[in-house]
Amino acid sequence: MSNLDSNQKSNMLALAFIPLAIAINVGIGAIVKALNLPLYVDSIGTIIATILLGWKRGAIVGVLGFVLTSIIINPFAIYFCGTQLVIALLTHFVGKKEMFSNLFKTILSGIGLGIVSAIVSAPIIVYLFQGATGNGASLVTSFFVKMGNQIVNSVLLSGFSIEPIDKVIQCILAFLVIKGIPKNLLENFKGGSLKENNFLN
Amino acid sequence: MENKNYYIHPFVRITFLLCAFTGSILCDNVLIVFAFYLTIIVPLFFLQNKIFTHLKFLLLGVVPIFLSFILLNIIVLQSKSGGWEYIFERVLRLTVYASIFQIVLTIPANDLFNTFKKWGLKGESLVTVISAFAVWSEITNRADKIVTARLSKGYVKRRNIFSMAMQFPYTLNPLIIGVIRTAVERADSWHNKNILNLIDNYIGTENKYNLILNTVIVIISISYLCVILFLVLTKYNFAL
Repeated sequence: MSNLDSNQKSNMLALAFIPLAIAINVGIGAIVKALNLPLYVDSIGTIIATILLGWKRGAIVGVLGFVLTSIIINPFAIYFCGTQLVIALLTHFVGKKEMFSNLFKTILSGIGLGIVSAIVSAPIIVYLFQGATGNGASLVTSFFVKMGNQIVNSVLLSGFSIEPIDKVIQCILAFLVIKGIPKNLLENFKGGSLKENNFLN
Repeated sequence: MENKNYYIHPFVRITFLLCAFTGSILCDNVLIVFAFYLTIIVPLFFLQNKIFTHLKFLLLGVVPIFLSFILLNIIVLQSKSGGWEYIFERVLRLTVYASIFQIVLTIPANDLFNTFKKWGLKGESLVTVISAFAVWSEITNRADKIVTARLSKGYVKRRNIFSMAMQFPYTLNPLIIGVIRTAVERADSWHNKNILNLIDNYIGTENKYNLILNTVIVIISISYLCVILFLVLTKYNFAL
């Protein structure tokens, strides 16, 4: 098989996988929103797609997933598309640094992703929503405001207390799911960080 | 059932998005924004047969935000950062902005191809976006089948919200492995059929857009923006 043919097949696989990963993002996000949990769990598709296919395709999954969520489930999701882009970028970066090679490193990656997500989402939550996003996180923000903090600090503290837990859960789930995928299926994916994290060995 | 008579033309969607969004952001009179929502946005949801989707959004999206605004501003901050009026304005604006996006992006299934192609998408990006809009039901069906299989095997003792939520990790693994298998098979089939060439050369079924409806939407959108701009400029002049 020529290199060109191999690249075309790889592109085609990405094309076929991206919409399905988007649907996973949207579906899982919908379940969590329905349960009104103080978590989001809406980036598993983004994390998996980034590890399998690289940051650009991961970002497409994240951003398009949020656009779709905003049509089907929660129109406010569209305001947080930027956070998905950052999640894809950071997942790719830590993936290339072998930070998904074992469970401990995956947890550390999740904490890092959580902190960065909290920082990136905070300006939107403060300036657009004034801290009231209508989910479980708003209760945590209200608690910090009640403790005497300003809205900005409360949103950041709320983000720092929820996002790392949320992203650690998502990273662990993504790690376990990829570990459970048969190697012959994983070998088809290029551009991500599968080799660096020993998923193919 | 989607009524073809009420399909909105792709360029009309863009015009509506630009005019309605800019107008609503610039407008500092909340009553005008509210009137625009009631007289234009809500009827458009009716025409597109998506009023129940919008009501679901109001119930599951807007009401929780409204409640959290009350919790934060009235109960915790005791109206220091703004009272009821402030809450109503904030929630209304958030609802209107999100509803505009919802109208523009709620595209009937058999108009997806035309709309995205007219918006300038082609090749890989066109395939990605159309499939993203189309596979949603495929995933929900697949997840349903996995949960039904677990129920029939007796792994779920009680069918309450918590026991169903506990099925989440068990559903995820087979779901994603199934998805990857499907993606690999689909990629082979698409590669053999040379789908990118096919889709670029595909003309699609040209939908007949209702001229009156689409003209009315364009006129209203542009008029709304013009009125808002006039009000903003007049206010600016008065201030001078």
